[in-house]
Amino acid sequence: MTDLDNRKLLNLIRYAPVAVVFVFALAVNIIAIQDKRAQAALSIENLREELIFQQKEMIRSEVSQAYKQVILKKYQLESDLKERAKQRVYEAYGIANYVYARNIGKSRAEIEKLIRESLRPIRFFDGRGYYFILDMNGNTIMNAGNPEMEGKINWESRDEKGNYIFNGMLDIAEEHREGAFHWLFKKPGGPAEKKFDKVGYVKRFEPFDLLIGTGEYLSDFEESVKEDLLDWFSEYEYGEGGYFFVLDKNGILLAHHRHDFLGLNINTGTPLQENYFNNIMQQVRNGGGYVDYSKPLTLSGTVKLKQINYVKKIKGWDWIIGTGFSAQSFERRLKIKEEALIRANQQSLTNLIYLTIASMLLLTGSSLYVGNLIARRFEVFQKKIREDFDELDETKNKMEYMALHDDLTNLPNRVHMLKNIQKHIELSQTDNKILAVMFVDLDNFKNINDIYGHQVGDQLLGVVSRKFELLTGCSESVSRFGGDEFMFCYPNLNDTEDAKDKASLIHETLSGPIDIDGRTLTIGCSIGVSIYPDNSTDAEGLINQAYTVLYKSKSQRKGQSLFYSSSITEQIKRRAVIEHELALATKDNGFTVFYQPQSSFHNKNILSVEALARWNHPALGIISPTEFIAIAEEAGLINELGILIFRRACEDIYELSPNGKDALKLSVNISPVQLMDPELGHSLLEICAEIGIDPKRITLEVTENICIQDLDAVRLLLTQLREQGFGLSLDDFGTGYSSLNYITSLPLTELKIDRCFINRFIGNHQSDMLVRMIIGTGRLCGLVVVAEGVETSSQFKKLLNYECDICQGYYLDKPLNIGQLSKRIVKSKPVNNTDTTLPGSQ
Amino acid sequence: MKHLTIILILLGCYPFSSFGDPKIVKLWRHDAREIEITASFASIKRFNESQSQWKIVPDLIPEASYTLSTTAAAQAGLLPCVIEIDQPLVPSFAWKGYIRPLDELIDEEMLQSVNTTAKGIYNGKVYSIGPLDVSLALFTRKSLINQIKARYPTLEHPWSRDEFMAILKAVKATGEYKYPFDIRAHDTTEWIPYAWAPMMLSWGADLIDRSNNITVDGFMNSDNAIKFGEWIQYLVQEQYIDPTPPNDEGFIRGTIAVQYGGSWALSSYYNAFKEDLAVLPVPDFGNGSFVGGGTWHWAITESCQHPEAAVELITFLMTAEETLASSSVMGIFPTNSHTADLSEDYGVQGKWRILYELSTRTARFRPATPAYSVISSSYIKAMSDIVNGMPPAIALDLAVENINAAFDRHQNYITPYR
Repeated sequence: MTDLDNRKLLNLIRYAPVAVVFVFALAVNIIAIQDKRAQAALSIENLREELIFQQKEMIRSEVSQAYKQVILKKYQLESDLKERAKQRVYEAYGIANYVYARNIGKSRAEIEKLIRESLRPIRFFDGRGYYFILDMNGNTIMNAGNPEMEGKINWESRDEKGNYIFNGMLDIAEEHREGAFHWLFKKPGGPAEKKFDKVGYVKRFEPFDLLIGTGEYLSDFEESVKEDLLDWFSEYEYGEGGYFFVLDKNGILLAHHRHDFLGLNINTGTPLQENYFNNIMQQVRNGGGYVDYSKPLTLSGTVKLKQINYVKKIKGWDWIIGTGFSAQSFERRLKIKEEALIRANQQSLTNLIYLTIASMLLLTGSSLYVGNLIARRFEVFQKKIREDFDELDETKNKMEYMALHDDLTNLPNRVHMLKNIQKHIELSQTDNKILAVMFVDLDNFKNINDIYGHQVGDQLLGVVSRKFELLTGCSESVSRFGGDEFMFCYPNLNDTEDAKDKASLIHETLSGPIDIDGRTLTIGCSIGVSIYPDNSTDAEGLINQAYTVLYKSKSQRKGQSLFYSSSITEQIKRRAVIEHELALATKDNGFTVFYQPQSSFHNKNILSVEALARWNHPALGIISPTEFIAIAEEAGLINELGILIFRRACEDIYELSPNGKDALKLSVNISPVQLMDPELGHSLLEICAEIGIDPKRITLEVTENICIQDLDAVRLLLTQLREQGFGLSLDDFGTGYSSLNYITSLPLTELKIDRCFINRFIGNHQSDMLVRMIIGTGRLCGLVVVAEGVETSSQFKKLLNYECDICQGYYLDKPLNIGQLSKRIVKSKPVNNTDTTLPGSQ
Repeated sequence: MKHLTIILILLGCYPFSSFGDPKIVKLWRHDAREIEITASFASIKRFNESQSQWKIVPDLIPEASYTLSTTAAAQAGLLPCVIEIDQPLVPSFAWKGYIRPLDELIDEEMLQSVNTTAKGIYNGKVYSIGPLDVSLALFTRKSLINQIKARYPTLEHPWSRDEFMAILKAVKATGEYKYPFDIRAHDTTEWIPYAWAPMMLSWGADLIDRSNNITVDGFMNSDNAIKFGEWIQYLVQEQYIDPTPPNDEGFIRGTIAVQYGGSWALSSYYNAFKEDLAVLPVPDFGNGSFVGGGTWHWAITESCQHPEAAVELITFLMTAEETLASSSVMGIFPTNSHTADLSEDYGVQGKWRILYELSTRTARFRPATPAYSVISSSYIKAMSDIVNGMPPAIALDLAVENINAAFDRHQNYITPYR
């Protein structure tokens, strides 16, 4: 399931960014494309509207400009005419002046004639214009347009408004020398009854005091201007194919460009279609406007061209000027532009799509690459993490195993056993069974280590462990507690007998020899057993009880099984109290020292005394030296206690018997534990020096229980002590493993036959022979032989016969306090200076 | 109105198709003399009857407004499938993309068989082809030539400028003619560049630099062009020509002695003078005797939905039978030399062979440039102004200025039309 999830996660890491990037890029690009398309459509529509508006505005503007020009021309008609007339008069004046100047010598009549002949043929204003000359009396000297008036006086001529025509001209010439003049006059060829506005200009010709003038009918000039404008309209073009047309008030075409046509048969002078003209009139009545017009392109009329025109009326002249454009042509151009724009937009869109695809591919590819990179890195991390976790798991399992098992034997350890016991206690409670916890300690395993080395010891532990495992069935277990200690847990037992059977099996499994690397070893064990629920209901309690009873058992006798009982607890409590009190007593010097005399077999003279510590506790009463010395040794108090007793004994004996030839000697027991202290010799010597007692008077008694392992160190210490003068006695000789070995390896001065031999040698041949052999050995080795525990006369005599050197025991003396000893010594002083020197002593 | 009736009759003859009927293909041509239109429509009718896939429906446009109408229709996208087009407008229409090249459509052999005036070429491609042609010539009376004792000109030896002026002087001196010569000065249409520009070419001036079809300045307003203008003004001033003739009937009515005109009027001339009619080459004013070339052609528009039908029709109209049938109208002759040889009037021994010879030997095209329309209109105005008294140098300079502006506006017409 986890792998599946991891695969999904990896796929998610690999593909999710790709999908997100792809979808995001796709969405962004779709939006961009849609937006671009919408913008393109909008821009096309806007462009269309804008262009149509511009086109229509352009033709309106063109019409407006043309309109202004026409209106300007129209309202400048009279002033233009006056100016032109003035120019013409100036030209005539110049001619007249020129003629006058060139003919200055001639008579006035001749000159006037020359002037008249010069001016008479001149025509202008499209042939309508001519000059006239008056004298200041109103006589017509010349009138090129109306020769019949020459020679006549027109002084009184008036127009329809009653203005004096010639008189008015003369007045201007008289007053201003020149000027424009406006009058009414009949038009040649025109109706006789109608006179027309005429504008002229006169200038006084001073040399002959004449007046030269000309005039033009305003209507003719206006028509002339209109013709010019129509010509202008016919030629005028703007932009690309922009042309004007001019209509009159009846729809007659007055002018249009040769490149323009309002219809196939509509030329200058022909009327416009009525309906079209009506539309035009409707617009011009409103001041001008747009008119749609469809003109046929072919004679059949099946193909028409729609034209949009703007028209405006020129007031006063009843002209309608207009211009326009072909809607279809414009639409087509627009369509071409639209298509071009669409193509451009499509190209842009295509480019955008290509860019989009490229960017999406790039983004997707890079996302895929990055995703794969991350996924691969993740896989590496995952693998590493998995490996680390596996390693951690393995380590954890190993540590758990190590925490719960013994590294040397692979058996469960104390913690595991504790849990196991606890678990089975609960099961036993449920099943109403008993559970036995058996604490097993291999007997003398230390010796195996000492003799064969730790490697062999370890191998032995392994072999034993395998043997023990074979003893455990379902739900039963064995564990190693450390060192040579093992623990069995036997649940589901019916009674104590079952437990005893199990203990027996343990003993039996170790009964045979064990082969280690070719060595055949034997090993036994001691077992402490506690029972649930009889002894305790918790695992710790059961273990502690089994442990307690084990060491109780070992202290009693190795190789046995001992079941826990309440009395053992009492014993243990007593021991704890004694240990506590022992420490106090050592500190407070609460011990007393008794001295058991050692007397010569030969004369029964006291030669020496053995200092014996006695402890009469105020509450506990007399406590056996065996008990408290053992506790002192185990509690580490023996050094202090030993020194304390040594000092006391030295003080007592020195006080009782100063140094000297016959000075009483002293034997003091030295615990094997004390022999482990390298400073022991120095301490003893220091005490001796302090008190003043000669060390040669003192024999240190050591037992055969001194550590064989540290024999070399002990030998060195004993040698030093011996060199310092102390005598050395091997106590309890014969009970140990290496009694004879000690004789040869240690600097002994004395052998002390153990009391067990003395007790039995009367009537026991073997013991008797052993006693004799010890005495013989001591003699042979030059050692003083002391027999302790001599309590009977027969014993004394026999030992005397055997030539044992010194007797110690109740037969002669019981242990005495210092006072009693003092008296005993006084009492036992020999009468006849019997030699009291100990054999072998220095 | 008469032509409109013909169209309506034709449309009646060709009712709009129903499902399964031949497809309608529209055609425009210029309105001409009735005899020409009748002959033209007869050809179309024969084509329609010759097959069942297409139905050609013709429509007419007055000649005066033909260019305006077709141009306006082209700009509006209203052109039919087949149009008749005046040869000089071909480059403009081709440049603007209104018509399509025929090289890939029309049989190459057919294209090769017609003379150069029958093809409208732009940028090396044929865009139009015409089965028939007309020619310009001097028309007068043999009796008049005899009367003034003038030399009868030939193609090889046309009248020189001096000879011609002497003839005009002699004619005028007879006192029978107020205006002895007519060059149709009132016709300020395509006539001017078609007919007058070749005369100006003979004077040593052209409308444009033919080597690049771009440079106008120094050509249209060259010294020789100005001299030509001054000659025109001289003719007006000396009343050798009427600057505003009331109509084209002066020669027929005998008020004009020498008519510079087109062969399309041959029948009326012949009817008036019969065998006294003299068809002469135009004078050589110093640089050769030239007439205008290029007349009405057929072209296929770009918007044509059925170009295959148009090709079929044009191929049909270009056949010798149809060409001969149409050339039975006096003054119009085949553009195919073999067909011309088959013609009674225009064959080697034909009565009017000289027209064919004038066309093939002296015809000169108007400039083959999209700018031709502005060249044409500017030149027309210049000539019109010259006739009305404007100094030729000014009139021609104005024309050049106008044309150059158009060239500038369209980047010399090199880039595609937009």
